[in-house]
Amino acid sequence: MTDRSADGRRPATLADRLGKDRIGAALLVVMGASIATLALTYRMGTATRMGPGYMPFFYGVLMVLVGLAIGVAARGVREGDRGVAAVNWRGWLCILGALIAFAIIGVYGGLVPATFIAVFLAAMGSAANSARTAALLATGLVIAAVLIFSYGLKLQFALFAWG
Amino acid sequence: MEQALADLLYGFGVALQPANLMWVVIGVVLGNLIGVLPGLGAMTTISMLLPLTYVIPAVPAILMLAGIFYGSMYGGAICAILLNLPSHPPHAVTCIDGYPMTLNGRGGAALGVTMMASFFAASVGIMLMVFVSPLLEAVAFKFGPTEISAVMLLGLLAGSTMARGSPLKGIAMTLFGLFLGSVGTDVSSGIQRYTFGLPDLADGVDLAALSLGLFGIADFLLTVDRREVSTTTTRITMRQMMPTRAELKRSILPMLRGTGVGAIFGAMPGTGPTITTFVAYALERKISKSPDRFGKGAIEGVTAPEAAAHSKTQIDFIPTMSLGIPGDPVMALLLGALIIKGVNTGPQLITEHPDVFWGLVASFWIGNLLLIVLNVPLIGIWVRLLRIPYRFLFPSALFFIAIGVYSTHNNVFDILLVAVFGCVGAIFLLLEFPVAPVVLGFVLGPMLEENFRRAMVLSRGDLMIYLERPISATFIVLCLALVLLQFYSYLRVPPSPRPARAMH
Repeated sequence: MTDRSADGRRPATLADRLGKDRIGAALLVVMGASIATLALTYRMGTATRMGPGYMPFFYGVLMVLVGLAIGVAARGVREGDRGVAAVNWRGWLCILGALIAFAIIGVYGGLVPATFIAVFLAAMGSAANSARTAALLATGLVIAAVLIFSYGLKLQFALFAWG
Repeated sequence: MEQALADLLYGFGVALQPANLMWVVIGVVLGNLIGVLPGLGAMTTISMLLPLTYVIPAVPAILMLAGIFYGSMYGGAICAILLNLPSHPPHAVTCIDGYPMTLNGRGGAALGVTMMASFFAASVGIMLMVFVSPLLEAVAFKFGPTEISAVMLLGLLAGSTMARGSPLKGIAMTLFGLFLGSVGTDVSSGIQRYTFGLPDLADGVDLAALSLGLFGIADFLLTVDRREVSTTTTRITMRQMMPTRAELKRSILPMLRGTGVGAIFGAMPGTGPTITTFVAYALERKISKSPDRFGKGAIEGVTAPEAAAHSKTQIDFIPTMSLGIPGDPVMALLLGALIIKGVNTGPQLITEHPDVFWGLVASFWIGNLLLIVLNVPLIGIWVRLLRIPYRFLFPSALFFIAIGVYSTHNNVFDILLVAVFGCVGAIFLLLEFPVAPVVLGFVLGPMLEENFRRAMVLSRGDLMIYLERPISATFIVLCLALVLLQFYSYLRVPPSPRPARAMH
């Protein structure tokens, strides 16, 4: 795995000043509290006759406690500590977008357009790919998709769908 | 003894049935092929191919998944030695001396001894599995819901605290996994938990979608455009893979020691394969007469950790199969696949499904032998695969992930779920939270809840039952010891960045 250290020249962001542990701790407390609160809306029951909310409630409570412990134990930002790595927005948007596009276009357009657009989008997530190489890669995978999944494995997925 | 051999023979009968053998071959080849590709580790490989197993029966499914697993480990070693790129964390150690060997022109020999060490260590591991599992099986019938939930607690605690990084963060991620395991329709009341009215979540979160998000997409998000460009111009022929006599001589003892280290760590639940390989490597360097050669292409530095990883992997199957406690996330995935197939995992597995267990054991040997037979002639192709740049690889892998997950239920909802878990996983990884324990918690969660519920019904809600029964009391004491040990090491370590982290 590559080094994900933050670029040293970047000015310290809010995330850097808080530190990974405190952000993580806050996230855990919020998640745990929501899980426990929702669990209360299911029937709790007693230890002898547990309801559906019993175990999730304790998972949530424990998450809050562990989150608090992580927050307290966080030793602040140290000299030479690696900050939160900068998020590669282009990569994130393109990769997550590619999955969502595949799901939506798969239903409304069929396998061929879904594959082409998803692979093209994902490939564009890397700055090393040009639109041309991305389109070539996408075309190649469309052919592979049709041969392997449609003809080979007989997957129930229309090649083209209209609406 | 005789019984074990008879059982093993029965296992070979199962594994050699043409239909099963075919799936072993497919699993091993696909695992090896994908494992070679830079950046696709064992976890991603297994998750990507998990949907394939949904359509086949339990026995070939588990044989294939296991084949994918060790196939991808062989492939990963090739990538680590020739490209200096560990796709599967345990191979980080292999890089230290494997890559310098490649630079010295001995990459072929490094691959050769890796294969020998892997095969030898796996064979030892399999033998141990054959003879130890039935012993555990004899104890297993004493396991009621109290004991099972206690040993699960130990497995979860060990899995989340003994991995790399902060133990508290590991526990937090395990809890997140336990929570995800409770999503869906509650078996005893029929109430839908955390589905937010989405009918697609009524059957719970799909294991393949979860692991593909956490180990596939999350990794793409973090590594796109950040992976250093590494290519190889190495050409390896079959003849180069034969180590010299001197190299062989230097490899034999490290191979034995590595296997031993792997066996010891295999017996400890929760110790990941990465830590095992580090210990094996450190041991070799410590007892070596010329420790300065390490890091510059010492063949012992390749043999010992690879042997350790493979014997540990085999032995990890013992608690997974005989008790239903997966030692690491890969085992959790395999166990999850068995549960999806409707196989009742846990202490009764060996008696109720001897075909699964003994077939699996026999298939290990067949698969490992196949890998050697395959890798020697195919090495030229593998080396060519290494040249595929990552910028073409990840969009292609993303497509296979999307279509694979779609094919499990012919439903696009699971693709969206992959996107969600990819995003969540990447955020946690950015904050240096380990994501592997999520899978552990997810797989064990429903079993833990059911067994804990039953135990509490039996004891009328009295938690003391865990201390009154000797077996469960032992596990609880071990849990406490684990927590105290972590607390002790936390207080002792001065507030300085831990060096182990640098190796990721």
